[in-house]
Amino acid sequence: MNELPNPTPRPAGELEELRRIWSRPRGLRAITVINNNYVGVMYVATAFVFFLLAGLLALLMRTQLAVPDNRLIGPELYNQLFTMHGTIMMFLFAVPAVEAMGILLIPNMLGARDLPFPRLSAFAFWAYAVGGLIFFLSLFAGWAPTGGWFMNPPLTTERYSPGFNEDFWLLGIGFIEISAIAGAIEIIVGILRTRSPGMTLARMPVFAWAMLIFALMIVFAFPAVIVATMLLELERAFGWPFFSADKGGDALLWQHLFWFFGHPEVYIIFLPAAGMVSMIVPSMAQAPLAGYRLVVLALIATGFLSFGLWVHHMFATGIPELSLSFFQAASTAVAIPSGIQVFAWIATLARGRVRLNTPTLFVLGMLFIFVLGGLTGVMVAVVPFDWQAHDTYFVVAHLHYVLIGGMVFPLLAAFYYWVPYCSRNALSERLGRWVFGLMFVGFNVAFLPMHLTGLLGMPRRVYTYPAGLGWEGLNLVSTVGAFILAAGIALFVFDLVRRFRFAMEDNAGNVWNAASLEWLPSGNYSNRSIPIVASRDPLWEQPNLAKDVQAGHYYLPNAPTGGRETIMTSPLEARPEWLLRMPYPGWAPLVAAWFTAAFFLLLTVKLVIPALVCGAIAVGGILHWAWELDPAPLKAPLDVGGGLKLAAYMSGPKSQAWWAVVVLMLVAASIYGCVVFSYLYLWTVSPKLWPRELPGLGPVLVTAILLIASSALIGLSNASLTRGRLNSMSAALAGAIVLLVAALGVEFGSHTALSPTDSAYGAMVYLVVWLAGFYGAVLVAMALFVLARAAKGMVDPVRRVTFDNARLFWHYTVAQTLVGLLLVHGFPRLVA
Amino acid sequence: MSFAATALRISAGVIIWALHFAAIYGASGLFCARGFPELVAPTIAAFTAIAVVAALAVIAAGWRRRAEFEPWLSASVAGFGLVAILYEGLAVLLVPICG
Repeated sequence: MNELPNPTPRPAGELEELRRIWSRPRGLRAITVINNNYVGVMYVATAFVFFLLAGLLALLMRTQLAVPDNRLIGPELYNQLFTMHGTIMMFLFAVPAVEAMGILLIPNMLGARDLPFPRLSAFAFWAYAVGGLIFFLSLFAGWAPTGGWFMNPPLTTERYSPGFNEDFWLLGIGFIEISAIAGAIEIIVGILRTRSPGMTLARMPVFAWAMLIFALMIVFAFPAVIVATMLLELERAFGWPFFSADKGGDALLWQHLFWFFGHPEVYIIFLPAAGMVSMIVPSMAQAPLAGYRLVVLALIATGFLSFGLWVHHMFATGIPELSLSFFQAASTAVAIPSGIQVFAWIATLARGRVRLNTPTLFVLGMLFIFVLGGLTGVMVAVVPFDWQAHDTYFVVAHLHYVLIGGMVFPLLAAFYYWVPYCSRNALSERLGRWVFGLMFVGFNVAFLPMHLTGLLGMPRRVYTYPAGLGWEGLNLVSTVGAFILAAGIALFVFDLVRRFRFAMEDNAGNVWNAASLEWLPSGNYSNRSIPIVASRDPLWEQPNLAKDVQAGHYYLPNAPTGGRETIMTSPLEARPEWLLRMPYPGWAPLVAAWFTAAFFLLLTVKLVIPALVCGAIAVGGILHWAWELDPAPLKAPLDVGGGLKLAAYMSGPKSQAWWAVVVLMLVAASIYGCVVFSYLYLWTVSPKLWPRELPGLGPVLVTAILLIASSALIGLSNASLTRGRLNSMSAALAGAIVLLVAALGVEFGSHTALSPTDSAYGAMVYLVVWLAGFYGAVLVAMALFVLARAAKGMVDPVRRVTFDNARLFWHYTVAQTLVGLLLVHGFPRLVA
Repeated sequence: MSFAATALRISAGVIIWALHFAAIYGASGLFCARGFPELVAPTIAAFTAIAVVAALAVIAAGWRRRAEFEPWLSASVAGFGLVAILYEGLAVLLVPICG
């Protein structure tokens, strides 16, 4: 694998062709750009703007708390401020910022031309940017949510929080969830399928490992908050009593669902940051990362274990002690993998000659702050201690040590480290030291005293406090620290404005002598040719790599299809499999994104008709976008260099679409898992609500048979397509639609005696049935889309990705709905 | 080996941990809620024993080919899972049941 595929000089004009093909759109169309470098930078910048905005809210709060009995900000606004600060920092800054770093860096780090679904990244960015900004503006109308970033009911139910405010959170966060999941699908498929030839799992950069785990965690964690927000909004808007104790609901159900998302969320933020540190430290020490295998182990272990910690946010809710102990054990055990990473970084620094520049300083600052936060984390993981510290400023100190130490300092290190990758100039080293100094001192002055404020009993989320409790001095010091921290960040922004000039081909380049592929000479097309990777630190161990890549001596030095393309490789060994033709910029993803955000936000203020219009436009945008996908296959395999000929079309399990649909099915399964959990949880709380007698099994058997028959027809349709019998394919597909609609009609009809507003049981049953209806509607839309394409001659035995997508999702949905039938009709009989 | 099989092998140890965790938490919650405290300890002991055997099997399978990356990862992840399983199961000996 080490011989060059194209050792001879390349013909003139190839590079110009690559530049032309990958050039960004100009004029008004400039905003339709989809290339990961542009979208990545816009994404990071937007996330950072939200960091500044939420930081300003924090400064307002710190000003209010500087002295006792302050009258600057009243309780109403203060509630909005802390809710928005937490919500924006977590949903609009931290997750998007690390996701954005992934979109910016991963293709180049893996040696791919771009991510496999570039328009999906653009969609994720625009839904988030537009929706997030409008969400922020709700503050100025006095409509911002007030229930804390965790929005616990019953406080947030309609009875105690009437008005739009809480709806802004519940629906406003909807587009963030969609955006995060879209980005996660992009990142998973990108990392597993577009790595350079030779980049096996064992040679994959740690950042890519971290982003893979991050994206998988989003797939399993975000569904919990999707279900939670759905239930609470259904209760607020339609009175379905999931959380109302008087009708058999339970407010704790919310906490279970929210924290099943909320705790992994902390690691969703931390793991990519840790991955960045694992890239920065070897460059600064000029030595390979110590314990690569152990670091990968730590990432995987943390990713999984973080799903077993959620109840440690609920230690004070009255759950039995033994149950709490399981979570106490898991919460302390998770310190082990985090410790492994910290020791690996220290060992790497110890084995090399460390350059004490700004990224290094931020990493060292991170080590200090994060380890302190980890230690207080082990303290609050211990149940009796947590009961003392619960809801005090000790927890505020702990979580800021973990999040700012674990994410903000690494992100600043990453900014200083990777700016030369996408800017003409590096940032100023002299100002950087000041930025670090101010931030480090300011942070510790602000948050270290809060441990004491908390131990002295000051509760969180109070807008003011009386004098004479011993809190005044500590609060004043914290406020001074917060402003020093803010001064550091302001200085960073100043330096950024002064020095950052977006550039790819004429970027500052590999100023750190780093070892990973993103430091190869690159342009919008990523690398001139796609290298063969033979080691974990390719730029160090393959000395001529940069020169050969630039000279086009590796794979794909040109554009054999005449358009945008990248090599798809196998997920384990990264063997070249086929050539993915990639889309060009267009308006459809943007229109879909903007109107998706508008749909959710208009629903918030109960403008239902305009919301539905926007929703329809968003769906239209998506359909237009999807219509252009699955282009006509190119018949002959194409030469990508060194005699390697790759097909330029793929359907089935090797296609990128198949992988995306499988990840989407994992998301759907997680959502359904949370719904099933909610049903069973409410049964443990209120078993008396579950009926002793149910209507006969006749209708449900009819539903099940119709569903299975619809799946069988899809199988038949597949067989017809494979044999080229397009008419019988379409007929079978149409038949499947009829059977599905009939099945759902029978199921809907069998619950007419039940009311969703009378009891939590009725609400749960209706939820399961309505979800079946929603998924059914999605299936019908997908099948009609395939039929329309077939009518236009765009589906045949080779060109069949659209059909396969619908087929996969159909079988999945039928299986899911059958599980739902078992739950709704079988479980009550089992326990009666 | 296929990607799906490799991914399952690598995560087998922590999947066992997750199933064990869900089982002991679910069983103790349900038995306490329905008034069967005497069933909690034996159930947790049984689940823990099954999970330990399963994790040891994954460790043994991976450790034989530990020079390769994926088998090493599979064994090590399972080793970590084993520690977490034992640590969490231990709680039943130390903390009052249904208290």
